[in-house]
Amino acid sequence: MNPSMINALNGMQGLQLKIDTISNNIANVDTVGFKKRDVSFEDILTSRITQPAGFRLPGRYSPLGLTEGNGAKAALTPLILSQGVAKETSNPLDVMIEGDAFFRVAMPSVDANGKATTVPAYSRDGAFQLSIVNGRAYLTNNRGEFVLDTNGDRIVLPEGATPASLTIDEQGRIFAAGQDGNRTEVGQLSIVRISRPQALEQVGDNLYQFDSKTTNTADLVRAVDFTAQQGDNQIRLRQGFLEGSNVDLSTEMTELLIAQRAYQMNARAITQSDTMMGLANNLRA
Amino acid sequence: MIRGLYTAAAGMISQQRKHDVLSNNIANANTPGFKQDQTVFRAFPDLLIERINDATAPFNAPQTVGHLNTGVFAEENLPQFLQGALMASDQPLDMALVDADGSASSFFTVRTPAGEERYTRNGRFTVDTNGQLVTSEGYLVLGADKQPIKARVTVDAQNNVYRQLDAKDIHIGADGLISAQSNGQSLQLGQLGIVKANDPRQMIREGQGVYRWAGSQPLTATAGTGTEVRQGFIERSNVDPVETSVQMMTALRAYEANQKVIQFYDKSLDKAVNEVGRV
Repeated sequence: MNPSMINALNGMQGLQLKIDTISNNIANVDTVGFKKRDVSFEDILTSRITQPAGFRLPGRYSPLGLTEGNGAKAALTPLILSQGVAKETSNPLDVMIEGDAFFRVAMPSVDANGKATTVPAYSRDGAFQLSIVNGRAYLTNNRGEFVLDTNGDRIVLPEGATPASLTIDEQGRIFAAGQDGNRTEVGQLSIVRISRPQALEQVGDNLYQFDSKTTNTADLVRAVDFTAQQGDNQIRLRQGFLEGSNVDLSTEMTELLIAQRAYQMNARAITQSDTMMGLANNLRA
Repeated sequence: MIRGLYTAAAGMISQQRKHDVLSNNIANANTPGFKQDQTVFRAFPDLLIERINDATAPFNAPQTVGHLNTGVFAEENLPQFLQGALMASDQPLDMALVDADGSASSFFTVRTPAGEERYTRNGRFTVDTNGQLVTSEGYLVLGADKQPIKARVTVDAQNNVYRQLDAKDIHIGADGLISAQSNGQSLQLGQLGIVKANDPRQMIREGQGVYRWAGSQPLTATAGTGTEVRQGFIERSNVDPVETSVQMMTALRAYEANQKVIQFYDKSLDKAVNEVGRV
């Protein structure tokens, strides 16, 4: 096929992926804790038409050989982990993480033998609630998946604890105020840093898991040590706040416009090369 | 056959090559670090035309009529190594090279999976599963010592267990020096291997964002003189969409004009073959 058409076709396919990603970002502009994705392009392997030595004529600048490109492709779709906007809700069970860290949640799954089990999943969604299981109140997210504490266990609340009596401090420690006014520590939320967030994939419901290619997950996850924090990347929890999506509509619309116009120009290149092929076909009508 | 037929055909082929290059530029209008190509045409060598059967000329000194040029060909696709616009992306591992003279002749050094050394301007880097700095294609980014750059710290004395550094903790200085702040320690991870080509047009583009050096002189390593590394920025493609669209239309119309020339020659030949000497 005509090389012009191939170049434009590859360009359009990459741009289609970019437009799909942008539309997913825009659809999630109100999702709590959503992190947007970006698309990065790269040019495709270039062919080279050989030119024999006689082509080296005076005034030539580049080495022998005529390079012919093959268009561009979408090479990388990185997760952008900037902080979302803080929304104050005053709900004592809403928590927001300030900084680059994740909650740990037990996601229901099926193990190799088909038995029901749970696997760790990571989330930025801090809209928690209390779920009653077997008469005890546990801290879960709004789908009933258990939020884990620093030991990897479920967080169980004392008898008679109401959401209004719970306090969550900046380091994730949960305190329940009893009838007598004394505060007892219920547990500490598991807040982890992930060294290579690009290894995470979104599995839906605001949860992230490591993709199947990443095997050394233990090396990548480490619990935040609140006593030794310094520098710019400090982690803080805020009770009564929710983290909004980090999608900025104006940026996304601008990117969408750029992608649309680039798509249009590639389509024009296809139309023109179609005209040229028509001209060649009609050399002798 | 009539010479002009081949001249016009050569014109069509070269305009087609130019159009191919322009559509590749358009497809790469959003590729970071891409340098647009420009097709350079060259005329075929001139022919010297002599008169034959000239009664007035001496028999051993034919009279030359003059020069005749027999066509054009696409000689080279020259990349234009000019600085592209910088775009702030706030990703800690995005890097852009800025040359003080605006010539875009500095490159990062990378290693392909086949083990060969290549060069790139696309600074959109990430960290792979082994904790090494790689390009968006997965090619290892090399330091000034031609070794991969490791974004990780060793934890035990046997250098076995390592902990990966967070991308946000890594800081790249304007001269390419990589350092990291982790757990209160300040670590030196090395120096980015940035090279400067005296004549960047000797770089051959291989695709996947990389170039191969085909010049005669070896590349000089730079350490901040005349080249600046900007972390958190990406160099956009230097394709100008308006100019490229106009050139594409020009190539199309030149193609059409050459096609018309062939059609007229065809009509002349038609007359010569079918009508002259018809009984």
